[in-house]
Amino acid sequence: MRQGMRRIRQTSVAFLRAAIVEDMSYPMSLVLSQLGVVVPIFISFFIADLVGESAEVGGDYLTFATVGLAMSSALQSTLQGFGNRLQQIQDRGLFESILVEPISWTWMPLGINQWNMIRGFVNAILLLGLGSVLGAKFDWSGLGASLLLMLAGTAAVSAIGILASSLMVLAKRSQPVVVLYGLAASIFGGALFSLSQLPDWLRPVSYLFPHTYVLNGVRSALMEDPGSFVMTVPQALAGLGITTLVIGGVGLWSFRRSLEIARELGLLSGY
Amino acid sequence: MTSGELMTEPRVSTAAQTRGVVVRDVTKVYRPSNKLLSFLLRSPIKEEVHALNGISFSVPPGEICAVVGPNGAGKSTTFRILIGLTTATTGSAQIMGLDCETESLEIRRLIGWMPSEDRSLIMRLSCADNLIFHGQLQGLSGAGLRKRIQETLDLVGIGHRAKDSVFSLSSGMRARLQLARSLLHRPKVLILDEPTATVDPIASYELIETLKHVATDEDISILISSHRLDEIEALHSHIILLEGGAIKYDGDLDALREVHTRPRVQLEFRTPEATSAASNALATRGVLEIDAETELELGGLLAQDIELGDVVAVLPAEATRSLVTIREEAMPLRDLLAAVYQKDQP
Repeated sequence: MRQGMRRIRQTSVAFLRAAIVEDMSYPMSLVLSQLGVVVPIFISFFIADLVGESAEVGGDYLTFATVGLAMSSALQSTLQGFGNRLQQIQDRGLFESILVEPISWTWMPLGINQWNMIRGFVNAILLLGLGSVLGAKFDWSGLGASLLLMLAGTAAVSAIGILASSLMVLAKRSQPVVVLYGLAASIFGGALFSLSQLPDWLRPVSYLFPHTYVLNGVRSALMEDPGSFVMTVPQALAGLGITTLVIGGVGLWSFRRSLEIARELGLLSGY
Repeated sequence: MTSGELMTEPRVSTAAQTRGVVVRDVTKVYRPSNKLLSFLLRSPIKEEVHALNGISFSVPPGEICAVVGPNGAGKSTTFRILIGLTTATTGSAQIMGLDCETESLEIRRLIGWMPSEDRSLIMRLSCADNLIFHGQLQGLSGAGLRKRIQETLDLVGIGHRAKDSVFSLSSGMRARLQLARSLLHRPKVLILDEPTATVDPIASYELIETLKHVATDEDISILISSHRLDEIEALHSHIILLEGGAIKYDGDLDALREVHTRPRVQLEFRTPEATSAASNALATRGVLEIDAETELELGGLLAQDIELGDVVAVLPAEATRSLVTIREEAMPLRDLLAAVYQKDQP
């Protein structure tokens, strides 16, 4: 057991270290991508000025939108990271040399995406801080619950990312699927508007996206008035837990199965 | 190993059964997927491809085995089965007694693999960082890993470039780095797919010498595929000739030469008349297949079962008196392999 944990830690450190060193070797890209993350908060600042007070979003639109943008940023970073990183590894010819290392193929996608998860997580906190500086009003006593929800949300979107990666192992490209899913999630998750504004018949679709649980759970935790669509922290955690268990199990099984099929068909080296 | 044979029966040694590489009756058929899967995956396989047709061989510890064959002969498929990147359709492949399909995870701790392309390195990372990544995935860490990295880089001759990015290295140095990566975790079996494909002849020579030392010093089995005949010759190794997914020859190079070589003989005379007389006599008696003739020189392959003395014996007196030099040359490996591949299978 101890040996197993040690191996998991070593594998995790190996992927994380390599990703950080490589990312740091492109400093300009790193700086510009960070700028790209913070710009929407400034846009929200001006939109909030335009919108004014609204009961639908709990009064202050900037606070509402900052939570939406921060959480969406973290979740999208994790979700798209799986496909982007895997495609990068396949295209560069690194995939096979990683597969011949003595590591579990099932857990490999989590290893290769750790850095994106951490960056997304840190960016979300930075965005909350920036929003606060710009005038967003948070109840910081809910920060612990918010972090817990972010962790649970990361696990849930990782499950979806792994499922998409299993498609990528065989079809070599799955980014369009992930991009479409990400777009849908930004609408149905309610990043910039309250889900109560969705037509009643469309609202149930929201519950299929982990974004819905994270965004609205964190709003309940950090905002005194989360607006007209309320989801409590326990409700959100339960939704994320169920998503992670169901899709995570299917995703991990699918990824391993895809590798086995690709191995048998001789598709592992293609891209 | 002293003998070799064409289309051998499985030549599996006892030592290899538990410690080296053992391949038994392995076939690999790449089958086309069903239509929907084929459309979605854009698989390049449209009809069954028989990549391997029941090959068997073994490589005991401390032995270097060169796998040679034209493109599509099955070299890469054999290697990919051994390292677990594809599976055999039938038959079994084992490394150190472990099954390559079902015990792949354990096997990946025991093998070092060097692919033919340097794309398997992370270009933005330094040589040391590439090896740290690999070492950590192999379960190594800390000061021990760093010490081993320096030792391994020194072994392959690029210790002074440890901190340099891979993209700043020449092709030859990248090949050495890949070799270092495959050696870092002290594997029991090394599998090298055209390791010197991008390396200049001098670097290739040094790489081959390093491999020979590693094989004997570390007592590991080395499987190497190559198109460079000079380095196959330099390895003095066990050689497997593959063609169309089948083994054409399995044995050592010297034995192959004994079976297939007909030495080339070159004769030089003082006068054109002597050359002409010798040419007539040698052709009439059928001892030399003359393929090169000038006014003063004759050259050709010795006929089967004929020795150099027989050539001198059949020369007319006039030619013998005028003979300046006679020399026998070993058949170039290129011609030897061509002869083997042209020979009908028994």
